[in-house]
Amino acid sequence: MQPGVLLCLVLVSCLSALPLRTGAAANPADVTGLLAPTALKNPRWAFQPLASPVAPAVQNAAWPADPLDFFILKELEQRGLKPSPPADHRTLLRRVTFDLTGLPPTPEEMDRFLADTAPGAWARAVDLLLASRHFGERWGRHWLDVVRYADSNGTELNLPYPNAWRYRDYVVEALNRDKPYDEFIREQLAGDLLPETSTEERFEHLTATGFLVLGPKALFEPNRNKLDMDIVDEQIDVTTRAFLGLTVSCARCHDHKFDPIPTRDYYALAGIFKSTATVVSNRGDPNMPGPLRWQERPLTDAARAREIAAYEAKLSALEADREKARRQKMEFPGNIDSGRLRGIVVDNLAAEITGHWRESTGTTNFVDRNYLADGNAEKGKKSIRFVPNLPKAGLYEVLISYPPLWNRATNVPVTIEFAEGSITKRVDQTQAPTVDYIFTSLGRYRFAAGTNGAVSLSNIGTKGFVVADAARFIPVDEAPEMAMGAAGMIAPAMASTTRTNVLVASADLVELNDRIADLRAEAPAPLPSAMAVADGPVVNCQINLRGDPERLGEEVSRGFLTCLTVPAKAPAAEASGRLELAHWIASAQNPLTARVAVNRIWLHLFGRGLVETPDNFGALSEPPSHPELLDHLAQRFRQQGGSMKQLIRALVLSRTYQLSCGQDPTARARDPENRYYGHMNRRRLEAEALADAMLAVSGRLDRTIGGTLLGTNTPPGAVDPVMPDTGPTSNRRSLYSPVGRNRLSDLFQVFDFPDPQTVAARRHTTAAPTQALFMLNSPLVSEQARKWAEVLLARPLANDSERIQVAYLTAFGRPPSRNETQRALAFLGGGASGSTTTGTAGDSMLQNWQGLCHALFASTEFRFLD
Amino acid sequence: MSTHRFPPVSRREMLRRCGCGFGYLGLAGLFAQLADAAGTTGNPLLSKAPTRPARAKRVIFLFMHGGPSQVDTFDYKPLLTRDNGKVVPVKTGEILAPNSRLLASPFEFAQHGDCGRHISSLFPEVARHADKLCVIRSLHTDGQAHGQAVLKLHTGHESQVRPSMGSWVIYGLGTENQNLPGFVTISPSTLNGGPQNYGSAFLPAIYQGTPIGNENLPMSQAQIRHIRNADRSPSRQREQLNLIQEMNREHLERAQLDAQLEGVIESYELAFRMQTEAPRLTDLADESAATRALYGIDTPGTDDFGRQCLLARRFAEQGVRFIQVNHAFKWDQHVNLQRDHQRNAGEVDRPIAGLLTDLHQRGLLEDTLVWWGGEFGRTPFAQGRLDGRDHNPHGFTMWLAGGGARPGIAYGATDDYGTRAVENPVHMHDLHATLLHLLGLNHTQLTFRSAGRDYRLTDVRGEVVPGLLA
Repeated sequence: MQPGVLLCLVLVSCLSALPLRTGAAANPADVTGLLAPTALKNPRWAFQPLASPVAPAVQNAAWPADPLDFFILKELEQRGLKPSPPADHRTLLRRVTFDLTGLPPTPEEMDRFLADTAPGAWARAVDLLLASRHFGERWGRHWLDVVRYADSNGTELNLPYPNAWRYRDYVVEALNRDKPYDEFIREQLAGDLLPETSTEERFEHLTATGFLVLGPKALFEPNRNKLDMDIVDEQIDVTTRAFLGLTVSCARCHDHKFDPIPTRDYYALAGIFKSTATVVSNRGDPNMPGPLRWQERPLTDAARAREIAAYEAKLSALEADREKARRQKMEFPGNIDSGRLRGIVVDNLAAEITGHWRESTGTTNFVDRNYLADGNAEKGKKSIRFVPNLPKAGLYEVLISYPPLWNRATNVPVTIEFAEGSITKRVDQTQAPTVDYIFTSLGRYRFAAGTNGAVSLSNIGTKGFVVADAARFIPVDEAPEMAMGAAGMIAPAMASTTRTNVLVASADLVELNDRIADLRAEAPAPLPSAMAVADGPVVNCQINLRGDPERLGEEVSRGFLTCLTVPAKAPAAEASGRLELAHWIASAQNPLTARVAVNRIWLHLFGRGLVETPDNFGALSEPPSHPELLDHLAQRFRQQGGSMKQLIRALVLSRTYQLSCGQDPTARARDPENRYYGHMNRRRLEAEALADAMLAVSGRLDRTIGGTLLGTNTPPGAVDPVMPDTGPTSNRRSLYSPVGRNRLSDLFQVFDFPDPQTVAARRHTTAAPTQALFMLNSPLVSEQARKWAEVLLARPLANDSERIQVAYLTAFGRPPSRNETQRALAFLGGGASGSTTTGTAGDSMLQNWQGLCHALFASTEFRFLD
Repeated sequence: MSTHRFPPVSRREMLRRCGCGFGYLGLAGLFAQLADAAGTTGNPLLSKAPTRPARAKRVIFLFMHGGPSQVDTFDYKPLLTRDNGKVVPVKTGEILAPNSRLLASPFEFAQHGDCGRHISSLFPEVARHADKLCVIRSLHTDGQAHGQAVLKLHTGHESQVRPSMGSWVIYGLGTENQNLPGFVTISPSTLNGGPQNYGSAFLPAIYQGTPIGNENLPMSQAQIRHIRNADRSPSRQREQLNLIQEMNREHLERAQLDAQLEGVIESYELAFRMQTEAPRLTDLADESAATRALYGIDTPGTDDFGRQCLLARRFAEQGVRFIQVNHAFKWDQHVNLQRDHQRNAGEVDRPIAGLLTDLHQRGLLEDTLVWWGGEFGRTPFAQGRLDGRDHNPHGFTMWLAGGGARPGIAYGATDDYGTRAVENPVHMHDLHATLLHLLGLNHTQLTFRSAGRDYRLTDVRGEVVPGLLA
């Protein structure tokens, strides 16, 4: 079945009962009339060019602080709603500090902000945060959700991605340096094809294309074509959803059911990605199972690159030789079919076996499927007996076959039981067999008909490996010349293969393997490398009928989506076309790109998007609550050169952002969902912010930026180096906890970390009891509470009341009320007196304080942003 | 059951995302929810009425990870015995190397029960329940490798990320006991997709399965994550929780009204109750010696799986909706078929029979759907040193018992040797559709919108199989 494909059909069948005149009506929720009617009913609203709306007139013209406030206020006033009062300063600083850096403000930062009473204090506080290096960590993580970032491949073989972190660090750095959004797009899609002004920039560009490589890949899919088309599909999906908010991969099997995206367009894009090398041969790297790996490209200077290139060339040459030798060997297969040999052949598969023999195919030249080896162990306990069923009595030439090797025994006892008696001979298995390099003659013996004779071989008294393969009985009257071991031994079908080839091939293979191993051992130190793509052979795709890569239709030239009229250069004939695609997406004329981007930024600051389906701006999207505001912001974003920082700054400096969370009864009745932003949405801290806040509050946060915590812990040559379980292993920010696909840490699983296999611009926010269990009982929370208690107890403070004061300031950004202090004291068992902590029961003191700190962590005030 | 309200996702989000699920929720249910007094949210895990008459209220899935061989268990093939060692005379397709030789089952088959069902000597105890079993001998699925087939079985898709079946079921039906998770998986494996097999994918996390222990932990130590507090006694923790909740209520008061905060406050109470109830439930000490013996507990070999099965019964009794019991990745006999299938069956036979007996005696089998099987079956041909079989997704056996599955029948058939399903083939999608049907859910209407599409467990396929219904 074709992945991913048929689902679109479900939608059709489900919706068939509903009017399909417009996309909005196709949304069942709208059909029920439960949602407020929306201004836009055109299902293709997002494809229209950006409008340039002017800020509307409002009654309370004194209220807006930013043009965007006019758009908000107008909608509120139209509905007879009033914005809530502004939030107090403490709430505001806590809110904006988390929003811009993912961390709580320190008490010192809070004091500084409160002390700044000069005009522009808010803007100054915001600018400090925008300049913080933690800004990129916070907003980089938002982007990582969108691009399904992970440190492992997932799927059946969950290989770790040891270099994924470089892409993550690239994103953090891009946000911190406020890389223009169009540049950000171009680098991720086509960084490898962009011109560069410095080596550093080159590395940065290469690293950015990790965007295309990070997805889950079925590296073990035996059908290479399907594997490639699945990777292409994943790349189309992430590219179109991340940048355009379109579900283009719906069109893999059929024209998109709702959006104007024909299958042709899908395969026009597919050609671009098909011409891009994402996976490459692993070239027999012993650390990599399977034949393929994702592409990584070295980040290095010219000299090192030359050294590496020389090494790679040498390795390639040897590998080519080996491949030649291997093919030669395959032409004369090691396993000679007993059916093609004259005489009666008894293979080890049909022999009577005593003791434990290991099946092997390691050395070439043996009969049938394999041969047996004694493992150079349990001498005297292993034997094998070949019993032929002879058609008639008579004289037979008896031969045995064994694949020789230097480490074999030189004195293998072989006993022939013939009509008149038996005789034991010694065979030297280090020496090549004399007949066709396969068989050695043991002489001629007379046998009765039937199963009365035998050849048996044992490992008794031997030194070195003993192997047993087959015995062969040739009636002498058939082959009187046999003792000379000429070509006549072999049935005509095989006679054309010269024995010389066999030997040469085997010898070469062994030797070449050794030489390759030697060369690898002297390999130059591995270069830092990044997951990155390169252009491959340029091809156009043929339409895969019904998405089946084996059923091909018409060829489609590489190109872009026809539903958007964006002036752009078509893909060049000699390159994949990714660069042109990147320009097309990043073009100022592309209306989707800017809308999708500003909507996400809005979403992260206000708790919901102006468009509530941030990954889907197609016909099944939810039309924007404030279409003019969306275009206004998109225009500004564009005019400011795609500066994310400037847009974020404008949003947080707005009145709308600074509103309190309070909602009066009128507003609750008229706008229960707060669709019109009459107050600020209370938001839950995400997994990372929660964990980082606990670390920050307990004073343990390691603020180091970048690098990897992924120890692959993979012994070289391990067959199954799967992603290890991951979890907070350090005091670094959660951003740096390796993200294992199918291996998310408890914290991430419980607190709605998005599944890193698919695009997720918006996270769920659930309140499952598992979260409560985590907050109450997990060692992580308990441990942070203990550390924090230790810190508080070690502070040179006069008494518990003062400690409680510090605790509240640190955790909530506000001092405790009198009541709260009293209650905390009562919990500590210190009573109302505020007695000092220098008591005798130090342990239980620590426990009580730990209990209090734990409670503060678990409180809704800590877990939410007001 | 009390009706705790807490908002795992906002009503708005639920409405928007349910998409076509709107149809399945039903207008009545929707308006009932809207009429809900405080009105902004409802607990989506509350037990919901199925959209059609349900025969089963819950599922116990006994997962035989690795792929038990149908021709050595429930799919008797006399011709396979007769033609032992012959090179396969049938068109083999992609699953076999050329010249594979037929391998007769090393196990004896005999007829059991009034229905005369052929069952091999591997399952003497389960065989006593032959008349309760609805044996499906014509299953087929997608995925030649374990990873693909295991994901197909659990999520309906062999490669892309989809919610697991248990998540779909509690999304559709909620659960009957709010003090316990609605979907548990006992001793799950980390292999072949691991948590994805009980994950909720794009469904809200509240629908994800709760693992009890894992494959590397003896059942006697298995527990829900974070269910115990290591720092303080229950009464001391209650004091602490009181403090937390006082702070939370004050926060709520300052906020005046906030469904999210209410939800968190509720979730703490629920967690605290769960913390009391779940360990009591997983502690088997109050079970009689006779019951323990029935499941083979305290007997080497069967102790571990016996505990799993007994725990499954206890969960079922307490109203947990979807219970998966995992016989970890053991059934993959490419070699040593005789020895290892014997060992595997020996570990599960008595516990499963005990479970069926116990459910029956307690009247639970009526509305509990017991489902046995692996991700695929095995070839009738030999592999390895003539004592192993390769994967076979083209024809294999699973069985159902109770919960409205038709008892005492064998449905469908594979060809003479057991290679492919040829008579009344049942695809995994069909089985999923049928299981949902027995639970009172229409598989075409149980949908969720994500990224612009409405998804369902059965993709666009699957037909309910009437022949499997009692």
